[in-house]
Amino acid sequence: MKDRESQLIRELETQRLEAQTRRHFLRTCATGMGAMFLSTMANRAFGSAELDFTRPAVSPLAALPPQFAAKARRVIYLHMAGGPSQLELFEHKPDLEKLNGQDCPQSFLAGKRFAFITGTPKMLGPQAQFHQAGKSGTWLSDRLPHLERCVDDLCFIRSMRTDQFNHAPAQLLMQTGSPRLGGGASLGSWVTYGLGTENQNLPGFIVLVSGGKTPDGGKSLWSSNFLPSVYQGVQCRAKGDPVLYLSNPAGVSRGLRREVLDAIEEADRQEHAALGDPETLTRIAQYEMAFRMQISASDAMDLRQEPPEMHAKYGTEVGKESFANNCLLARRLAERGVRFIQLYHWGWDSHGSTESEALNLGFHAQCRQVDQPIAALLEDLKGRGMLEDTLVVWGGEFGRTPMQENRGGQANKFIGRDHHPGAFTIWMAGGGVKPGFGYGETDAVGYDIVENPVEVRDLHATILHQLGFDHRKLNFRFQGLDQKITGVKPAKVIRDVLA
Amino acid sequence: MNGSPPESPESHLSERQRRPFLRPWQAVALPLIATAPVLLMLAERLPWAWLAPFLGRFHPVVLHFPIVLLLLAGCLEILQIAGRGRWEFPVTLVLFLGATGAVTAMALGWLLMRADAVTGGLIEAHERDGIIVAVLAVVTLSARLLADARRTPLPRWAGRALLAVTGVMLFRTSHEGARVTHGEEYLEEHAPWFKPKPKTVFAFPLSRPVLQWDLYAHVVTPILQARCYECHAARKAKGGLLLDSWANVQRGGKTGGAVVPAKPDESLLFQRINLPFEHHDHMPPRRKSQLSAEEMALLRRWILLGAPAQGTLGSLHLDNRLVTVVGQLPGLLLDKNAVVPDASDEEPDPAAVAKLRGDLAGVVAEMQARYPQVVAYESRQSGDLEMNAAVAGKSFGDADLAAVGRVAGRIVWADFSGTAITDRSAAVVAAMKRLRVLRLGRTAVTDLMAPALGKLAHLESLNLFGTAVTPALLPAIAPINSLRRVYVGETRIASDAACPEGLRGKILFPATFSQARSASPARRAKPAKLVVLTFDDAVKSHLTVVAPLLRELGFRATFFITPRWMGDQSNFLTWAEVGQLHRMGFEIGNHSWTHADFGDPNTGKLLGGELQRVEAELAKVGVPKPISFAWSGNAFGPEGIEELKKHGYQLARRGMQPEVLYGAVKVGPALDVRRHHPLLIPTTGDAYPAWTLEHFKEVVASAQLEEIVVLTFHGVPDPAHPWVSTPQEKFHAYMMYLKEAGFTAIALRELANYYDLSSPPADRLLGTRSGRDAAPPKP
Repeated sequence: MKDRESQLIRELETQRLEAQTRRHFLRTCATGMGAMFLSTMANRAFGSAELDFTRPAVSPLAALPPQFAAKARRVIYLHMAGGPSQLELFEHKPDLEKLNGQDCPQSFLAGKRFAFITGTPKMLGPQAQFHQAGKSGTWLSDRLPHLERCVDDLCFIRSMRTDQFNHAPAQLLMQTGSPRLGGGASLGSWVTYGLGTENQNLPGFIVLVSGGKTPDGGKSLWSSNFLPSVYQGVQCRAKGDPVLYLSNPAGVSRGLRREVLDAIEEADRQEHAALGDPETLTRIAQYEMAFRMQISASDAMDLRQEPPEMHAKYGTEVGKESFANNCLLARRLAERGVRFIQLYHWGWDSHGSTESEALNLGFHAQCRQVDQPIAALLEDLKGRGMLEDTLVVWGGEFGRTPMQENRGGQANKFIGRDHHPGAFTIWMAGGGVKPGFGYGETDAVGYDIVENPVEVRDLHATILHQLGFDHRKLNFRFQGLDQKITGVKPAKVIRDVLA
Repeated sequence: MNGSPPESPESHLSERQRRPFLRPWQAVALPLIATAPVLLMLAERLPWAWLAPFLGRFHPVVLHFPIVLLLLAGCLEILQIAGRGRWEFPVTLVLFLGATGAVTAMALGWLLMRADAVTGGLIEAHERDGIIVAVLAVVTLSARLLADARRTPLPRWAGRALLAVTGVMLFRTSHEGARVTHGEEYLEEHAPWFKPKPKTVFAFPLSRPVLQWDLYAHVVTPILQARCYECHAARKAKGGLLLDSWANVQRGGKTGGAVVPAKPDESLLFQRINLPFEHHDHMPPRRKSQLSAEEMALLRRWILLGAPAQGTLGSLHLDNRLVTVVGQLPGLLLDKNAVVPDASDEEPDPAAVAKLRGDLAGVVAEMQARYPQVVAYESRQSGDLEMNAAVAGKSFGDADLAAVGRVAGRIVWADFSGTAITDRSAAVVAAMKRLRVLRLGRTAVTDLMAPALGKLAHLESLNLFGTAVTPALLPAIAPINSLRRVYVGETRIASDAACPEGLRGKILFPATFSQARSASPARRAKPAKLVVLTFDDAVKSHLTVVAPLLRELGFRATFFITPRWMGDQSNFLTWAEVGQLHRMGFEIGNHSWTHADFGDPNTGKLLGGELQRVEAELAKVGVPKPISFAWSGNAFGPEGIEELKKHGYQLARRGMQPEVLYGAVKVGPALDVRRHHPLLIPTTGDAYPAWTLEHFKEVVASAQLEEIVVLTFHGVPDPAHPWVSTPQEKFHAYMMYLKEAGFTAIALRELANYYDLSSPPADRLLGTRSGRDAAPPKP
């Protein structure tokens, strides 16, 4: 019985498929294809023409004009990896002090998932003193006395949020627009893809890492992913060779290197003549750039050229790998026309499980490591007139909870807070953002956003806007999609923060 | 069909009615009379000779009458034919008026031509056709009158044909006239079949170095082409002057030759362009594009050289400044009508962008090929240019800028930081009239650049960082209204330089460390890990416990002495023991005689006397007059501060208040020598029995890089004041931690090394007062 039934079904299926002809296909498709055609035409007619980013194969990093007149020409992105606590730096929450030590209200916990907090944690009052600073009267904690001098140049976004509560995905989202490894190309790559770079003797996208650890997101954070690999970030080091494998091996002089490159170029040109692959020309260009970089990168990265007072200002020590050194390098690179300078500084993961992670102990040292150099960088850029068109962005991948972390239900050994994706603070400076301005607001304890939430993609759209791009237009066709850093969800430029 | 053929309407009229209202000869004579004034004007010596040019200007008014009237005559005639006798129109009358108007317009037009001495192909054609129209109109009118009077065998159709021919000629003439006034492409410009005549092409040999350009062909000709050809070339020659060839320039116009070789001031060409702009004879006329000073200088120079037809800039030894100007000519001349587009996210129409970039696109492309990365459009929507010479560094100099200067008028943003340009580029810089941002940082420019900068009326940001400019440059740029920021870091413009009105608040001085240091030469860089140790109230254990341990660890400290409790000799020090501490190398500070509340205004005034009493006792045991004071009970006030100053006290320590409540196990403010007044040095940590090592670490870690931790202890232990006692073991642990963590411990007096005591900071607590601590927390 069963057999006969299934046989019947099979037969009917076969008959149905046999009845499906080419005509059926075309008829079914007609509406779909028509719509596709129409949408393409409509796109052309209504002016969403695609921007052309093609460049000569020999100069893939050649500068291109922005889509519209830009306010910022370059970006210095100071990524504070680990998730710095907004409640000890920028978010003044006197009510949190009153709740210190009390049980966290259940309304905060219902339906929420935390990286480490379990059960009912205690609320944790601010572990720093706050005061109003600058002409803008911005509330600032005592942890950043140097940055206080620049507070009237900063534009705070106090209502950032993300949907990732672990470091690597959150960092990836922040830097590439996608929380997955290989999900997106990094912001620096997009920017160099869109604008190229001014100085053809240096990479357009340079990455400097400090804090003793590469951030959890790893090198994917500065990957170009589907964008051509020339747009990926080049990690430079403050110590030793600025770029690995750049200098000549022992026994090879620069003259010899030149001869080798000439010979390789000759061979490449023959190959290109024979096969016509434009990637061959790219390779020639890359070899040439590496050769030029042997001089220019070493020069740009040589902090010994800076006068002693500059070292005193930044708190730098030649030959050390430190955030301070990287800040000074960032200024030198910006001065030389590098488009996107990405700094990572690890060490903000203030759980309170060790002394260095304690908000009342290690956090002080952590703040000290960045406070003076950032203030020095901002003042230096400002004094040189570069802050007008350099967009400086400061921020981590998420914020921290107003509750004290209780890993495994026990209060941690030291005072700390858990990861908090729901609300955190970043700031920007220069590059046409409003100075001495604050945007967005959180509730009385800094847990939820009550006004003007800003998604990561909104931040990306805003940064790209300052660089002269509509984020929807800065795209790249890959896997059948017009890939863009803001993804498929709607993103908006935060116009209120623009000067 | 038996009737007669339809009668013409005239047949019904009586003989008298049929008589024309004018005799033919009268009809012809009348229009001729209209020309009579013209004939009079021919006698130029007559006193009313001014009438000729005056009346000439009425040509454009009067000409509309014959056009309308002659066309109306034609239309009426056609209606009359079509109406087959149903209507009768006074066609002859209309024709008469039209013919009169045509003759008048012709006469006035001729006056106008004479007065303005306009010649040229188009004008001459208009003149010829105008005469033809007038003659035709008169002939048509005559023919008609003759026909009406039946005095001519001419058939009726001949009269109509003549009218038709007049109409056609009328069209032709008026079209030519319109082309003279509105421009040759006016009518057809928007027609679909219209192909614009290629815009004026200047013969700039852009591939050749400027010195190889020919002065007449490549410099003088383009200037004349841009500024004069509209009226003095090819089909139009106002004043009889043609400037479109060297020979024509020599020939000149009706008032004489245009140039007198080697004598620019006697050359009409130069005289006219050099007249004040308001002058009636100034050239080019007011509403036309004017010659720039540089262009005039070039023409003058050419005439001075004898107005040669040939010769390169090099061979003619043109001076450098003018050679620089020549480099910009293409930009200056082509950029007459540059448009400022609004930056927006709106997708621009590619055609609109191409139009914005217009004639200069070719020049820009050539520049980009020569200076890659240096010249770029501001955006994909913009016709404006940005110039980023900074990437070229020292390889970019005045010569390069002179060449790039061809597009000077379009540049809105220019960065020359670190290039080799000098004041010799001033003329090019001045030509960048639309610049919004100019960066000259780290170049060799000096105050000599000032006049050029003053010409940049749209400048918003000017960067002179690291140049040799002085305050003398500032007055030149002060009048620029749009200017918002002037960067003068590392120049000879000091922050206290006299700032011209208009620049106030716009000059940015970098907050450099070097400046801060030069202001306080005595200030030393402080070691990274530094604490100040202070011990209050002369407790016995200071000598028995604290001093030996500190000696052992190599720590310095200050002991603040008050005799308030010294009567209790078992728990407190004697004066002799205080002297002993001094001899061990520790600082002895003053803590007042009575340990009273000196935050109180009345008590505060008494502080001086108390200080002296303590000083006197100290002197007896060989302790010198202290320079450090500790506010007793942590109370302070302005009166006390005055007393301290009067008595030569340089440093005074307060408590953690008002920042932190007394008695709380909290971290107080760390000393910031830029914020805290030396007589109001805060306490970062006031040791209580409840302190733990962890809290101690927190206190010590709280200082930022430039800050200093100040610690206050009482007795170790302090049996008489147990609420401030520190157990000996804990104290030992604290000190061991400091030692192991590599701290340096100093006495309060050593802070003078890090303070600029001559200009103390404006502490926000100055002028305020803080009362004595609330009742001490009882154990």
